[in-house]
Amino acid sequence: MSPRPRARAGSVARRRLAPCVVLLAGLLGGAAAAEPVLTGHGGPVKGLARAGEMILTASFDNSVGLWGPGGTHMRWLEGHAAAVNVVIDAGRGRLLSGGDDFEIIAWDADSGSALQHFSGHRGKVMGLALSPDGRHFASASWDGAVGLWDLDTGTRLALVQAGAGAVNAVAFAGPDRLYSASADGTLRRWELGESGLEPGRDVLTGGFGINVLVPGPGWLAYGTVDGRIGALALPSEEPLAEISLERTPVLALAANPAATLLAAGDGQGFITLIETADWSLGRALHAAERGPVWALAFLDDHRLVAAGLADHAAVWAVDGPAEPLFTMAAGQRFKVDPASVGNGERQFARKCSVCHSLTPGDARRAGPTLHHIFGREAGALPGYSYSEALAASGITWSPETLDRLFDLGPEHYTPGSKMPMQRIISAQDRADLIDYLRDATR
Amino acid sequence: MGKAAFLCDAERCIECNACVTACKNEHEIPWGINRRRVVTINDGRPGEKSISVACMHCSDAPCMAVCPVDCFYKTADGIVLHSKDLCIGCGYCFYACPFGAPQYPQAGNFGSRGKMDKCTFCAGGPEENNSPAEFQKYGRNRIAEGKLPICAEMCSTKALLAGDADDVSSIFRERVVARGFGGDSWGWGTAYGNQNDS
Repeated sequence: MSPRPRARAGSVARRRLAPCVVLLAGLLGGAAAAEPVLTGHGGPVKGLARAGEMILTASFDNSVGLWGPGGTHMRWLEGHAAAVNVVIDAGRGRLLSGGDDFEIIAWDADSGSALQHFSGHRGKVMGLALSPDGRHFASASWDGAVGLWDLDTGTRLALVQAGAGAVNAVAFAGPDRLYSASADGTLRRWELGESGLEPGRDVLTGGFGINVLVPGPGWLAYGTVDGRIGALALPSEEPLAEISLERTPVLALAANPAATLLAAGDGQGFITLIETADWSLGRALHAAERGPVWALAFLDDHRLVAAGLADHAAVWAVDGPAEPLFTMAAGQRFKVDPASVGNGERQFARKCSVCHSLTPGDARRAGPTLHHIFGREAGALPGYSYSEALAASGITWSPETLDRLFDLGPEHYTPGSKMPMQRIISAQDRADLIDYLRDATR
Repeated sequence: MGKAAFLCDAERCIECNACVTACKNEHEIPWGINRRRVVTINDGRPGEKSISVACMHCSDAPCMAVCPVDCFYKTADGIVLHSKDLCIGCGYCFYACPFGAPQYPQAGNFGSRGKMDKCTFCAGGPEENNSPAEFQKYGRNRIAEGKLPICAEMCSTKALLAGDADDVSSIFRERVVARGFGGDSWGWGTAYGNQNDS
């Protein structure tokens, strides 16, 4: 990579700042209050948002988490059949989430019940945006389409192909103007009219992919896969600023409520602050010692919540200490030393443990626990939301049926189930895994 | 090889798609997957340019950084490869890749959850070199045979160059000096930064 002057400046600042904070805390007679850590998901957290005092998390474990302002867990929202990528506040006590199951779900925040499913996309739903009047919302999907939906009536107003590339993000800029950002580098303006969505103008084309959009007062900011953050003046769409982070890609972008500060998360695990008054770079925090910063959301003008590959999200006070939020080991539970474990345990750790636990509880993994799997009917564990296909398969798990599952692959042995494509070609590896599971799942 | 690199000279690419076809044929890539594609900018307008794009085997590969199951690895030549036994098809790497390289077959239980497939620089995968298992999952391992990627070998105008980063950039520099224009090698800086080495 090219030099990272900001990253170096950030790490120097951290080294200098940390003792100052400890000293100050000592003088004041107590340690600085720890910022909340949101612990409980069983997979990486990919989406974050704020809804009033609540923090919302969307995770690879198929669920949405609701958390109190102090990081206390309040509720899980279960209803997606695959990883949840995005969650937003839809106003009037409602939330919206979109996932890898191509679905958008409207939730009642108080009861946790699903109010409405919005179906029609044929690819992952990656972005959602609420219209300024709160009546409509837009969706971005990797099927290449932009959707416009009526939140009150639950009807689809438009589902329009935006081009050849996957659509990553949508953002409203006024009641009748929508922008979409695509993996092929297109930033397109859409006009909301009687017939739904009318393509307006391709504001940007031909560059690197655009991952994220954030609207502000009189501007629209975007983050790109080659590490740039740009801002356009609205409504003119003239360029205001372009900043290169020199760290690729930009994966997350969030503005504080006052819209004075932007925070960008990147693939190298940094959070970089940008002052929107003059689009100058501010502090940079090396938030994740390993892996990216996937999602960011401001809780107030000075605190934000961040997520990466770890199963938890963490809050950072942007004028507080610049300590990492996610350690090197976070999100690495599947890593085992091959020299210290047998082949069967290694097979389980590397190929199964990301989605399955072995203990009586499911540990909120994307798949059900394998505890007492032998002799269990497929799709029969209470509390886990199985696909109809698996529940009706008639399979009872045994060494023979598990062997068949991984010999043929779930797409052939249990077609229609949630399990991703996974074959274990080597008969010896399958036998070792099954031997290991015999003991480990008792 | 010091650091494996691709370079596409947009002044020479004639959008013939031979690289795409050669790649699909060499590795018997299934329908719906293109490890390499040709992108045309300003199509039909003044300034039209075409670029052959695939995994660039970045020096500081973002796909490796974002993978939740750590299925990527880098060879001694700086080629970025992955294990399809470990990949869970989550799509995180597609979101992170500047070049849109990761591809996902639509045959999975969920359309989006097939194992990721991408250009291997014709270097196969973690299976035994040139074994049937390696060919089935990753395609042919030309690097193990002492050859360079088939896409660049087949390029009739030599727009697409593959090999050691120093050699490739040296050839490109000579061309730019000789012709006196067209010195922008699209994607080089994003993939390899200012370094020639990983």
